[in-house]
Amino acid sequence: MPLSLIVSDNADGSGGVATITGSDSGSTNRLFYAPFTGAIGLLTWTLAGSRTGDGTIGIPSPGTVPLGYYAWQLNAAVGGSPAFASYYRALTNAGAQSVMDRVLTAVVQQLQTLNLSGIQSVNIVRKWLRRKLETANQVPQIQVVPVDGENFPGTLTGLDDVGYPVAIIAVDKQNQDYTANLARNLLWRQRILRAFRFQPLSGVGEIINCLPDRQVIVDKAAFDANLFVSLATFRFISREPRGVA
Amino acid sequence: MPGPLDVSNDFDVFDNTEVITYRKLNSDGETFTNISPVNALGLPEEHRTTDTDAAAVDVVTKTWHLKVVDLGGATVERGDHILDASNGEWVVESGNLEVWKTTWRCETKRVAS
Repeated sequence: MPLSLIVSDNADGSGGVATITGSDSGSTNRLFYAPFTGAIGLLTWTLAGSRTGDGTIGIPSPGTVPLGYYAWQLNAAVGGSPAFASYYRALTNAGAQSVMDRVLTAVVQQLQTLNLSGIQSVNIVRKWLRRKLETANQVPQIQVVPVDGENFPGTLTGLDDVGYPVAIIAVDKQNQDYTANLARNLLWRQRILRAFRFQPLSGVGEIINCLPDRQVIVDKAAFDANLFVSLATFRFISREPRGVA
Repeated sequence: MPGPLDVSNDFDVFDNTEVITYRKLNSDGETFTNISPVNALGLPEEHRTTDTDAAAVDVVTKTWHLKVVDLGGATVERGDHILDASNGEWVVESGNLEVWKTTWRCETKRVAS
């Protein structure tokens, strides 16, 4: 029997389990993990646990391994010789909190760390819809909202890629001033775009990439309504298991 | 024989005018020249939500009638502002010189806050 490693996700935030088969009965099996970010460079491996022979290794989260997307590697012995097996699996709480819910939260948190000029942290909010209410919304404000619908850009054996569309809009009063805040607001956009495009999303293990989608630098109709509205839409690509889970 | 009802002829007498400051946008596009006092009649505000390209936003619109003579020859153009008697500020969207050329009819949007 060939050496096999399967890592399953408890999907409740508690971690997962690694199942090992095909190793020698006296083999010291060591399980390593490395954050799989898609970034160029060597993976950094950390020991997650070990056992002798076939069986399971518990991977408690967040204590032993934080939630996230990981490459897993098993160092074992088969027939008295060193052998290796690998696997990719995210540890998540997907069963308790949806991926998109966590994406919206993570985007808000990431935006808050940018300390965008003039925007208070409490005015970076997640909502159902992009809407500037006359008095209820303090500006400048950034709204993080779901838009349109998911797409499914790719499939793997037993895994699906799901694209979650998220719009980020910056709203401020403009009062049809053709020059006010030009430099500041363009810097907002640049920093927001750089913070998300073509990279995983910190805090959501399933997100393996982020693709820029529809962009509107300045919304003319909103400008005519005395507001500045700037839109950046991203599609966060999540690699998820198929079937009931 | 009386002509059709023309607000430019009757609002001095029958309606509640207010004194506003007309803020004429200068050619630099940045600064304003205030013209005051200007007698004006403001029609009731309209509050609504409008869909824009990237969002939906609340807007408040108001129609004003301004006495031409009070403006001292200034024309009403997009981008000018009206500062009303309650210190509310409005951005002019359009101006139409009404039939007797004694009154400007202005469509405005309240400044965002």
